[in-house]
Amino acid sequence: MSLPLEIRRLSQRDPRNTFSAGEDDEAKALNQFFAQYAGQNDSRGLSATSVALSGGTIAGFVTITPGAIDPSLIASHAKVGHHPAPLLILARMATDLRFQKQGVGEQLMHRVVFERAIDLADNFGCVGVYVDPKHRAVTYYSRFGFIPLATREATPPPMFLPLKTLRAARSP
Amino acid sequence: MLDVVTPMTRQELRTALTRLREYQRSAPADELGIIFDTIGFICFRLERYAEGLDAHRNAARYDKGRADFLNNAAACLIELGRYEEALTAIQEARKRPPMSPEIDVCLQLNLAEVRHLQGDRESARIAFEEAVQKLESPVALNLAHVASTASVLGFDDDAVEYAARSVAVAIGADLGETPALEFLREHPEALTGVASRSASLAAAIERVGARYDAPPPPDHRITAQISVPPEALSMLFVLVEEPPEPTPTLRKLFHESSS
Repeated sequence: MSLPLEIRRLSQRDPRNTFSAGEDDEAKALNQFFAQYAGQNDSRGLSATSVALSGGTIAGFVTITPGAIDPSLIASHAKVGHHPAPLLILARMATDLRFQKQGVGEQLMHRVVFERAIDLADNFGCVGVYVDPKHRAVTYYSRFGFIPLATREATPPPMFLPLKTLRAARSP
Repeated sequence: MLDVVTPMTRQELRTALTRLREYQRSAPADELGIIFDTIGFICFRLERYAEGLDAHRNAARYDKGRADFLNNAAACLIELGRYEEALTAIQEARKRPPMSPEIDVCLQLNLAEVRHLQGDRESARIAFEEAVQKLESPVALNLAHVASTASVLGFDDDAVEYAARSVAVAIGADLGETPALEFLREHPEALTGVASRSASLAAAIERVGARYDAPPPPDHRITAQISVPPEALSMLFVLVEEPPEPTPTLRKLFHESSS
């Protein structure tokens, strides 16, 4: 069941130290990122963090940034050639322990990640959404259709959701 | 003394204390509560916590209706490491009608500090959040107290945020979307004043400043340029050209929201 949530851009005035996605190492890294770096990245224009609020308390956050594949890596792909392939990077996402399993992540994915990816595509170009997931999140992203980009080097592998799949999901 | 941004030197505080004690000897009885409480406040700033506790307890004896005097006694007890007595003082204060919503916030902040110092970080976090949620109209002194408590709890960024809010209220400025640390740096005298209130707050401001000025560590950097091995890249372009059908979860996400 989904909580009613207010979703908006992170404000510099939002308190961030009481947010906690958990106590394991991966969760602590996300807590630290949100508390210490999300705000300053936003103020420097390096990324955009949005928060989901329930009753005034931050229930979750997501950080996105436009990105591109290193053009030197795609010169050999005939259809793309030397054009950098723009995409939306889902950099960080977490739900506070008190609000987990209540649809917070889904709402952030839909109302921030997917809608911003479609906006980016409509206005600037975007081939899809890219994420480098933590172990705990692979199954979660798979539910939305993110596909692991199999590679021997990264465990877990990065994942990708094509923009065309998003558009197909949105169409009636 | 209640001005959060104007630091008083220790000599100025000692002089004020001497004058107050002289005045107290001949003051009318109905003023003794507030005089003793002020004496206690100065002793607290001078880190003479045992004297401060005596003064606040005297104040509470002279004016039994004041929750804030007991709250101030609790603050001294916390500094003296007498946590159970501090909890008792907080509980007693709650039985008295609060002078203002600000006192309710102060009680909650003191409770958060006690819980933290007793090792119960989760209770401390909850108490701190409740205190913040109770903040109504911004009062510089209250905001400075929030900042100080946040720093004790290890919430460095929130400490800096509330220190900035406290200064903003004190000087009549609008924070807007200015990062808290930048705002404080734009007002160095006020920063000195608010940091002088507590060593832990000064340390928190310094730590946040050091982090703000340094590049983020590798774990917290966000990369906008993706480098993936050739096999992953090939797979990505196959997906771009031949996208999979949306999963049921994805379809539901879009269509539930539009219905």
